[in-house]
Amino acid sequence: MRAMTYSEQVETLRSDEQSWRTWCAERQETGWLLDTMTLADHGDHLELLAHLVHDETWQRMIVTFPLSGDVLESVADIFPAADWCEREIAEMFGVEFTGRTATPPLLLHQHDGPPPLRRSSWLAPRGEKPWPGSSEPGDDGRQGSNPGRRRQRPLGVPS
Amino acid sequence: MSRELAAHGVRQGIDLHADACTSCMLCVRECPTWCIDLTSHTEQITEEGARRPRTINVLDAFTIDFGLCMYCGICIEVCPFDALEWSANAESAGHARRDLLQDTDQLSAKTGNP
Repeated sequence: MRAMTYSEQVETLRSDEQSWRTWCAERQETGWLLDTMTLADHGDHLELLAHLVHDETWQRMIVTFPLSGDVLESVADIFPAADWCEREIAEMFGVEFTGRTATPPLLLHQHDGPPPLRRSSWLAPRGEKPWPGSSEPGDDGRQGSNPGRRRQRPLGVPS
Repeated sequence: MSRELAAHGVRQGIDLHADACTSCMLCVRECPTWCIDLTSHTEQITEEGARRPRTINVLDAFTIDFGLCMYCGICIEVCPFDALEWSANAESAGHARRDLLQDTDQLSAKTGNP
């Protein structure tokens, strides 16, 4: 876990030595409030990103917390603002928050499929529409134009 | 014009200078929303004094679907010939989905370029 404030104070914490919930409880006791929270999918691991604000000094802090799996302890009872963020993260990234009574969806009531903001989830329109970049410069669709040229593939789309 | 506009955060529309476009397809391939369609063909031109004719790409159609465009500006950044630029002319709304597709003439008309 890495934490820093905008006043150039950088704090480095280790996620294997401290739990997310314990860290939040300590910050809450010293006057920090949760501003917002989201998640980033780095492909090989998920990382929680949270912004905190100090109640009196208005100092700001950004904290990142790498997740070991896709389960995390809920901090909604420590920071009430986390309730909304956790619901968002749960439905968009498929992360399970333990210690909550319920995690009702916010937007995707009828969503069927993998969590939409995970890298493993593909956009349906990508499969329906041909990639406009597949034709070569000067390629007007006639056979024999640009022969032997290796066809380009779109980035981030399964072949 | 485009740098001044971008410096002020103005991202109202995108203009095309069709005469500067070489149909290299870079903008089409880099566009994250796949909103640009470009078709071109090759022509052979013979320049005076040249030993053999030169093959050039000629732009046939260039379309931006402003129903998909998210004004990220990657196409403008990536264009090696500055054929695309930010415009202060906001894209007008339409009565139908197809009205948001702007072709070469519509994109060029605002710049006053062919």
